[in-house]
Amino acid sequence: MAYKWTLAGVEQTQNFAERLAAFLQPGDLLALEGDLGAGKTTFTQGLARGLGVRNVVNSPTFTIIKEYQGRLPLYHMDVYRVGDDVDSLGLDDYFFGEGVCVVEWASLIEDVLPQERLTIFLRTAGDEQRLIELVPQGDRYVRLCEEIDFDARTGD
Amino acid sequence: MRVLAIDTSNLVLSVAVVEEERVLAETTTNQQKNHSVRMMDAISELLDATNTSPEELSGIGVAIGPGSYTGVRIGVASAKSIAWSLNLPVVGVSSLQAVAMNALGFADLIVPLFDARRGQVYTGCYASRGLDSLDMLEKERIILLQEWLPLLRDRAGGRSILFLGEDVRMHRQTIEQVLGEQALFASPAFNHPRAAHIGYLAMQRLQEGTDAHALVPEYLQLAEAEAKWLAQKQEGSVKE
Repeated sequence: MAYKWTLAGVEQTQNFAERLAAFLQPGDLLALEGDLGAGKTTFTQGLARGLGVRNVVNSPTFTIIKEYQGRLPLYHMDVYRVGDDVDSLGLDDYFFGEGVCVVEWASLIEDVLPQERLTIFLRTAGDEQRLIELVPQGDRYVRLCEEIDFDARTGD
Repeated sequence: MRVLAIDTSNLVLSVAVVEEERVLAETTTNQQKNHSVRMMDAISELLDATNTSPEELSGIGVAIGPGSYTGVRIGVASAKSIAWSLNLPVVGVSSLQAVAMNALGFADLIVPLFDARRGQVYTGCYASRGLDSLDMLEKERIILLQEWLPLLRDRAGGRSILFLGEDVRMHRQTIEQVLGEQALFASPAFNHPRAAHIGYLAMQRLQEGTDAHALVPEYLQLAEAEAKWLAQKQEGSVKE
């Protein structure tokens, strides 16, 4: 079962993420994949809004990990630059913590990621359009996708 | 001689002020993990409560892990800063050994254990020497619980093995499946680390006390580079 949507632009991408956030639970892990400019940070901003985060969310490229307080804590990570040093970050504290983890470029740290997760692929299509695909691994995330899919099809 | 001892390496936040013959004060919580917010207040309160000015301290003891990376760093960084600013020796103590100290005097094997996720545990094996110190029988490590338990059974011969630590609860069933009645479980008050123990372990080693800049955490995880190097070494492709 593939979970794919075409979104018209930044605002729709954020709205989609915001709605997805409503279904998230403590300990959930979202792996974000997409080229530069595909909308990973944009997506996370929408997600943060959905989690009730009031602070401005921007790219954690240089800080690697940023924490935000919302309905659930949001841990926003960009592991593009961590290279061989991934073990020193103590990522398990986050993966097995009380909040929601969003990991940009997650495939670069495949070895240390928990097996169960939701991978979100973002691709550009045309000027503004985004293709989004959700790939669940593990029961929790299959159920999550079903909930999101049902919500998306039935609308508000 | 007064020693300030700190443990923030796991869920427990514990701070103590100890003298050679007496624990002057100790505070321990085991619920909230906002150690960065609460630790300095806890230290300040204990120093006030014991009328200890920072200049009266002779050293700092701190739990250096294993545990939560963030937790370990809060404690170690703070201990180093305090030691450096007061020009005091600082001694790092294993977070596992601190818990094992709760069973001082126990006749058989003492096994402190923290969950390390993915089926792994941080653990080691100790035996009590008299009533005041521990011998390490199996060095501390991160290991799959399923590999650790048979190893302990061999090590123990017929002796009992006392498991200590807050996370033992979640693994109790597995432990009992492998070790049966050979495994013993402590009552709740023995499972959390107490900074007072860390204070005494530190006091024993204050002479060799580390310079503040030399103290480093012990995460017990191999850095990926280290792991690769060791693997290559085993294959004989790297010369020492």
